[in-house]
Amino acid sequence: MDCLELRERYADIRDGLITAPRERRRFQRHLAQCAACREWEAALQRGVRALQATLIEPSPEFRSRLEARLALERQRIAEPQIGARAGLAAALFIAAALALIAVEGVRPHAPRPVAALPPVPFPKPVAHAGVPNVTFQDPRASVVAGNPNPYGTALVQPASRVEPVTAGR
Amino acid sequence: MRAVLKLTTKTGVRALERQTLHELADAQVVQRHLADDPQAFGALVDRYQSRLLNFVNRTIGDRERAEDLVQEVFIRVFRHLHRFDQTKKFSTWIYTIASNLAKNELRNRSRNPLVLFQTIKKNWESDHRPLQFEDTSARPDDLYRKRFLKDAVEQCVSHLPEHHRVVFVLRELEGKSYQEIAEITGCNLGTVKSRLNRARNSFAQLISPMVE
Repeated sequence: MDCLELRERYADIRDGLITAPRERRRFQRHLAQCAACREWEAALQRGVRALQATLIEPSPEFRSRLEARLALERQRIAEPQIGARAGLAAALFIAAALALIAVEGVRPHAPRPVAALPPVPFPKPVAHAGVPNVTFQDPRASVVAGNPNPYGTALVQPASRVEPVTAGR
Repeated sequence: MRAVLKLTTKTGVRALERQTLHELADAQVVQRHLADDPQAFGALVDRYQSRLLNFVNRTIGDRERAEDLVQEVFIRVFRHLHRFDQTKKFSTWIYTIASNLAKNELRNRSRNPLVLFQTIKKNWESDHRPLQFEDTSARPDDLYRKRFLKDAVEQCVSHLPEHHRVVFVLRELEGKSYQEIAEITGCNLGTVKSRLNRARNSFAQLISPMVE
């Protein structure tokens, strides 16, 4: 057995996982021959003994604080009815609200009558024959007079105001 | 005659009940608590408060916070004892709760620098308190040796990686078996053994110069 094997298998030996006499003898023989491993094991055992000797106790008020908390827990367990009633009421309310939403969602709604929108003048493009000029003429010429927006509200000039472009003729 | 009178008083009866409870195994005390014995839970607290405090304190390195966590362990046990599987070991269950709370504490600490700073500050203050306010019946050099060894051991344990430290404390301080440690930490036996070996190696290397 070498030092590496001893340290790797130390837990097995120390914690009684290896009981075979031959293995235990190998372990003991190496410890007897190797000063480094002996010192290592001695330091470990001294440290563990020191660790076990430095135990702490709970503070004096630990128990009283714990008893106070346990008393609150006992009270909470002993009075479940109030909480249960409120919970039941809340559950019923939520169920009623969900049912109402579901009913309203499923019921077919008759469409509400909507007021008809006034007809919007739609300008129609008209091309002048012979002259490459396009103007917009209101298709309902009869309604031009008195109509504040005879050609709609788009920014175009009425055909009557547009000077035909002459191509040098 | 007087002894008989004492026993028949209320306090005497209660003391006798408590003594009887302390002689019972964990499983029996649990059954008495579930049968509404008012003193049974107190017996469990008496049995485990110091052990859990030392375990949690060694794991997280903060004594005050360890007390809070141990209280939380008992509150959780009280709330859920009626659901505990009584075919399992009670001590494994309570240590698992303590181990999980300690792990959560360390995880939260690593995420919150302010909590970490406050812990370091608290530990610094406790390390630097004057020696003369300690045990006045002991000799000063013994006091110093004790204090030095205590600090050395605490320092070495706190230097171990968290998952090694838990296994090391459970084995060396609490005397838990490998199987119990595996259940408490949620690891398999091979992992427990490997971590314990590494923890012992590291601890021996750290403590060796301080205990010569």
